[in-house]
Amino acid sequence: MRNVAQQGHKEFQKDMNGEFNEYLQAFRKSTKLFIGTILVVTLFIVVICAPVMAPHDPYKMDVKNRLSNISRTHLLGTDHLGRDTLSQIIYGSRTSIFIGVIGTSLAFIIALSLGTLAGYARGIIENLILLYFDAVRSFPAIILILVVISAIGSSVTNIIIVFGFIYSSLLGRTIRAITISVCKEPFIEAAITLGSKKRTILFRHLFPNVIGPSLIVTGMYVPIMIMSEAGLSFLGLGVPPPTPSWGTSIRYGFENIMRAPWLILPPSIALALTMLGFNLFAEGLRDVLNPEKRGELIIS
Amino acid sequence: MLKYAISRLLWLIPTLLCVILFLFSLIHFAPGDPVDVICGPRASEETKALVRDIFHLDKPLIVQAGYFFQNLLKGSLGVSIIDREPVIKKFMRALPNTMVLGFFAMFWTFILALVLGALSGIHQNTWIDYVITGCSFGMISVPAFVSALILLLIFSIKLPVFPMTGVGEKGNVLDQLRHLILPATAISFGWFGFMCRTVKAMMLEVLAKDYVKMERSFGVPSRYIWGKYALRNAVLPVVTQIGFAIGEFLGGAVFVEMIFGRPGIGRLLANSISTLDYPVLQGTVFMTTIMFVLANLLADLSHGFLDPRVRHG
Amino acid sequence: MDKDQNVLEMREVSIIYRVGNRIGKAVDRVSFEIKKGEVLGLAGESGCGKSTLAWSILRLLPGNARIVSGDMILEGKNLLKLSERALNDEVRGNKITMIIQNTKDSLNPVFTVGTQMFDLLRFHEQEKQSLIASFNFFRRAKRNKERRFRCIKMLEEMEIAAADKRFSEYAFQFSGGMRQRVIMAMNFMANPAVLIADEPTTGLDVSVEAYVLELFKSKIRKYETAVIYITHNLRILSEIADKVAIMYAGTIVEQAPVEELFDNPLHPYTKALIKCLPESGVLGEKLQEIPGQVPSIFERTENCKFQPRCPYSTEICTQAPPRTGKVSSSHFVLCHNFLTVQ
Repeated sequence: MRNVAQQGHKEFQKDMNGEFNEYLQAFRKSTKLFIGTILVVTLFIVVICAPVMAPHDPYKMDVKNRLSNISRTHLLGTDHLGRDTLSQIIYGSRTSIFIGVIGTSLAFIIALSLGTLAGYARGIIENLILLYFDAVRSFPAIILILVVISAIGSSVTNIIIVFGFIYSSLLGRTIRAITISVCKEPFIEAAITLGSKKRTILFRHLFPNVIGPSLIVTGMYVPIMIMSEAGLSFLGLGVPPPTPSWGTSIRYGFENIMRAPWLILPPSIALALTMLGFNLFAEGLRDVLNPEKRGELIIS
Repeated sequence: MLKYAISRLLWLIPTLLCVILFLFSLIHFAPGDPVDVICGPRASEETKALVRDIFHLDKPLIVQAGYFFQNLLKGSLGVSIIDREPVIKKFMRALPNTMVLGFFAMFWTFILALVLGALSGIHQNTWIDYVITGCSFGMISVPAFVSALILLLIFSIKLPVFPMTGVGEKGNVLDQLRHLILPATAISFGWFGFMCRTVKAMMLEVLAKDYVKMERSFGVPSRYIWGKYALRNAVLPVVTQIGFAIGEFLGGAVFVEMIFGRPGIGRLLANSISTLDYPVLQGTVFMTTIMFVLANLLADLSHGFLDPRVRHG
Repeated sequence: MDKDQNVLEMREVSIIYRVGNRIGKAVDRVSFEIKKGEVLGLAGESGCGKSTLAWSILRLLPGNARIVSGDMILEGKNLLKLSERALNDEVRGNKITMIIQNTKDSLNPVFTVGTQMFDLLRFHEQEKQSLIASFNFFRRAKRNKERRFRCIKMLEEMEIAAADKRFSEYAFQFSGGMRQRVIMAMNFMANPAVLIADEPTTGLDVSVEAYVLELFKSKIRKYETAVIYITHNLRILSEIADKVAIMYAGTIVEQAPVEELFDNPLHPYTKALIKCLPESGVLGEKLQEIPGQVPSIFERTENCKFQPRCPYSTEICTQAPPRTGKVSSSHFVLCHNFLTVQ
């Protein structure tokens, strides 16, 4: 039979595999999270180091060399105005990330405030907020964005504001659902029974527990916004040129598709990889944070 | 359940009212004077005044909205500023192109997603699963217009297999099919990725259920369990997704139609925006919103209908 | 098959589970036999391996489990030698059937109860017909009518009122007790040689439980089915079983005819279990419990698995594996000290 030392060793092992290690184990085993993190980190490196990485000034036009092929000076060729494609892609990442992150942050702030309020307050306030959410959601998102942008003009600020308000409606609904389920938890009931003021419950108890899962869901919207910005720019209603944007680059590629068909590839691949990276990262993170899936990952 | 359907339909009316008011107010804020667009920069003041009067462009918003609803009750959606053609006619001409594309794409996507999703669930953690799941994930991440462009590049320009633009000759079904394949594939990528993952997740969930264990213990052959008993349970959420996908497709059609030159609703909308053709813009958005809300409603109801628990209880 | 031959014989069956890279023995050299019409009660706590054993007979274990040794002889044939196809077509739902525990998902929710019963008849039809004959619609319609009739008759036999209406209803429209009776109907319709009942009345209200148990008893007597009745409730076994096997941590520690087990329990675990029953105690006395926990499947050794919790353990219990003591031709105990224990 086992002796005390062996038993102790067994217990020691159990302690070693405490909570923290569990996450690390799951992280190492999750291919999704791994690849996602690599892609996202690469993207951020490109965004931050753009001035250092880009071989040319993306705004500099060189009309004599327009639509040129891959060469040693222009690694990915030039667009129809002679600007270096590679630099355009590198600087375009800045636009995408800027709009994606800031837009998502705006949507998050709006959705969090309205969603928590709706989920907590119920009654008339909730119905009004829901009315706003549903009204926005009754349009196909792209059409709504198109119409609004075409009305108020397209600029980076306008795009961020429009995205923020429109996407906050769907996010707000989800956050409201999260709030409602958190409200059902016993500790909230306990706080109410103990006589805490409404404001205390909202800020001290509710918020911290709602923010966690909300952030994870919000993360999914960054790639959506990046894609929407690219789509808008593709239609000509996005970031106004000459600001580099992947969507605009794709548009130029499309317009010149007969003369320089390869031009659509670099921005398309950049866009696809970015979205893939964010999706993988968000999904992978969600899996690692979910106790069931985490267990599956460790066992596999 | 009938009550639910009716109440949802009734909600449509105030929604549409808000939509119209919203649209009108937007157009009011837009830069650029449509009168200049119609008449051109060298028109005389009288012409401009005339145009302004005909199209009620100088009246307050509410009045313009009033005229819109008046026309609506008469069955008309207004007349294009640019070429004086009734908006309804433009819309009806464009609608079939978009609908055919949508349904064709959805048909194949659904079948493929069902089969491949079920396969990946049944053969979990084998190479089949990895390939299918990997592909579906990749497909979700690539936006529709990007895949459309790449498909166009490969299969239309580099290898002239499929035609680049247009819808095909009227009456020639084969030719129309040829024109459908590339755009339908482009759209279906995103849908397939999503639906496939849903089917797989549901299949896995269902195959772990007690009743499947019970059926196996009675010696029910595997192909029946997979094809009949489990699948029927797994399909439920997917069918709901179809409705929502078609609804959201109405918006996304803009890109695909622009790239493949299909004269559908999306292109109609995009053109009306760039030419500042307000009646067409209003009419198209109005109709599209109705269709969108109806599609969502149908999706919602279909879920209730397919589940016998909701149907009977 | 005459009355004295064994319908089912399990010989030294062992089953392992694999989690990650650890291997645990869930069932360790279990043996028992059942004759026609006999009811074997398999009792034990949660985690002792009785459900695993049951599913292993039908070879429906989860992917990470393996039967590593032993034989299972059904009516003279070794089940472990059958191919999966043969097992599925001839044994499952035919010679051996199972009643699973009642849960809200025990029947398929999107098909009517009737369809599910009907399909079972279809899958196990004995005659193979030619392709041409299958096109004979009249024959087919007639056969379907007969099958439907059989199903409804069986539902009536399970004392389900308005059986023909119930035939076209869905599972959620049935109460828990009725759902169990539907599954029982499916079982008896197949008229199996062996019926495995895995906690069939657990989760039902007490009055419903009593009713279902009585019905079950009358049916197994009528059809002369051999039954493996799995439960943790000894009281039920005292009513329904002919002989009882007590399982602990994957091994059968005692096996005896039912009266003898209750009159003369010899294994310390059996004794403790019986003492735990509220009926055994005196009114007002504290309920008995067995201190300690069942060892996890990864922590089991060759020696007596009950030893850490056994009040009668001696030195030999930690040094050598216990041997099966034969008290009589039908009473077996797996313990070093059963002779000396009071």
